[in-house]
Amino acid sequence: MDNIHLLLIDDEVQYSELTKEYLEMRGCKVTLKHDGVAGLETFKLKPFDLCVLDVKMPKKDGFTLAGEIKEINDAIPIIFLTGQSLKEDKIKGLTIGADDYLTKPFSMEELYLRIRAILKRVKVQEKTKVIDRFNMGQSSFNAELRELTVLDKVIKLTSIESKLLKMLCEHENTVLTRETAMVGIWGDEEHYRGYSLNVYVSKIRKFLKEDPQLEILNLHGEGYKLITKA
Amino acid sequence: MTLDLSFLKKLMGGDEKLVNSFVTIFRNQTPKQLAEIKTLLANEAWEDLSNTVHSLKTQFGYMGLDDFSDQMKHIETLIDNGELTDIHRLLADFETRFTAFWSKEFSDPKAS
Repeated sequence: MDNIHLLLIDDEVQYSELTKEYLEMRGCKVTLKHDGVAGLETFKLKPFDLCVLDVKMPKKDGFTLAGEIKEINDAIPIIFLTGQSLKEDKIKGLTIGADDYLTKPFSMEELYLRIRAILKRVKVQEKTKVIDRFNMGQSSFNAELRELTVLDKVIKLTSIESKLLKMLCEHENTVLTRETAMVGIWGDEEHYRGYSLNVYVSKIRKFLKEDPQLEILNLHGEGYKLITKA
Repeated sequence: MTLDLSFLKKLMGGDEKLVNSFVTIFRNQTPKQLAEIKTLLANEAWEDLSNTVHSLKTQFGYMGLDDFSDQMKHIETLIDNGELTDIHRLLADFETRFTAFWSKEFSDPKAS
């Protein structure tokens, strides 16, 4: 657990200092912020290994904050701290992508052990992870970093744009059906997703327009095809 | 209700320094939060009131004061659901009970 950098966001100004102190005693580096707005700004500036977020906070609640953090880096592990023991809250937290959920009052040691267990799991996943890099036309795409490079110009993609482009790359020169795309991005193929999908495909087309070798075809009633021209 | 710090000690991993720091914060912060509750209630600032009650609920939980924590939880739920009819009465009842507890535990120099 050496060199582990945690972002702790909790509006309990004084009490949260004790959590920070305990985690530092166990060898973690802890950056503490007291509201979601400051927490998000800090997250944008530095790399962290894991975020610990209080749920009920003024300005920005923990669930909203987690969603925004996941938009920036959807691989970051998140633990929620909450004063609520409602099952619905727990489900909501886990749906957002939380890795764990602790109800206050919690044991400091339990928090530390859960952090350690999650980071151990992440480390194993990283070792077995295939790096998602694609070269197509005069462009390349790093899905892990969500970076699209078109004729040496680097474009940072959002989480959804990245998921869509990755699927298009995986289906290069073959059809990516609308259903597969919607399930891959949102986890379902609800009818109302169709419009959003069109919008995101248009965005990807715009990003790729400088590359004369690439084109995304619209296959009516079927889906999309990313083709590479010679 | 009497103060029993054994639960807090367990939560703090038996670290006496952390336990003492927690109790110090509790002693300093709680009277301020009670005063804040009165102001927020008078101003009918329900969202802020819910946040303060929520905070007290958690701290009572750490201190092993489960009855007070349950009372806060009930009040918080009512406020969050917009059921405000009984809030004044419930908070007045809480204040009476809590003031008696506080005098016994913290105002008597021999007690702590």
